Amino acid sequence: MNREDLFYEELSQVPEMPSGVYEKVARRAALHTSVRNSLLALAASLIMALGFFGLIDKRTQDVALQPEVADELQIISDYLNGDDLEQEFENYAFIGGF
Amino acid sequence: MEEIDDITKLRAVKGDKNAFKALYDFYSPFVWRVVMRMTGDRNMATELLQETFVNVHKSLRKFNAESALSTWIYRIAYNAVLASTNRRNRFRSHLAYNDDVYMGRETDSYEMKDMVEKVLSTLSVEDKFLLVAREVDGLSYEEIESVTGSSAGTLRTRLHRLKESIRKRFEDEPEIKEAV
Repeated sequence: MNREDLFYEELSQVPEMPSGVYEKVARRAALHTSVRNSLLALAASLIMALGFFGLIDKRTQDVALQPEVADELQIISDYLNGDDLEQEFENYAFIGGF
Repeated sequence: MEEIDDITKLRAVKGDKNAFKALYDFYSPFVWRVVMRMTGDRNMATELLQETFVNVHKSLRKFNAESALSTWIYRIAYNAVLASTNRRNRFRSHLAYNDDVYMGRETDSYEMKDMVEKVLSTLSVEDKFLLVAREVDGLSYEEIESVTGSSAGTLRTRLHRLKESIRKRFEDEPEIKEAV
């Protein structure tokens, strides 16, 4: 065996792998997994909360009356309460020439 | 380069702990040898081995199962060593090589240990990886290319020059004894 061969043989020689590395890797991996799962759960909760409040808001908007409907209801309300009488008298007075 | 069987690989990708352990057992010896030779420091190599497999675990879900797992893992290890070297700039081989590297061996002489230390101390971490991956572990140039990002042609030329310089060192230092 020449010196160059010995050199390459020597190059392949390293100390034994230290023990306990896998356990540390597994611990860190488990920590990473739990942090990731927690973040995912938090993100999912946020999305659900935002979705819920968005839905509530949309429902609120849905039950809000359209202006035309509100006007009609106001007219009916005025009629029923007699609030429109004054306006009616004025109209009749104008038409009747009083 | 040997690969772990596809079933274990897929199980590991799916998050199976036992499969991940099998994957660690299969690939860690090479990673250990490379990081040990690239850093020359047992403690640092231990940290980098750990960091490599933590990163493997983190990214395993994104791994494209059709490509070679070995080169993917070696790329993670290689990048970890480069990042660590850049970050701390303290892997100066002539300081870092210590007796740990040479414990428990049978064949060589002290002179040859010294020679390896001297040669490696003059090389960049990239060249150390190239030397170990190609000459010790027998990776193909294409595999080394996918790890380092350098083209196979460039790697071939670099290794040729490296080996020439090593050969020249042996010629220049005739006092080194033959051990066997």
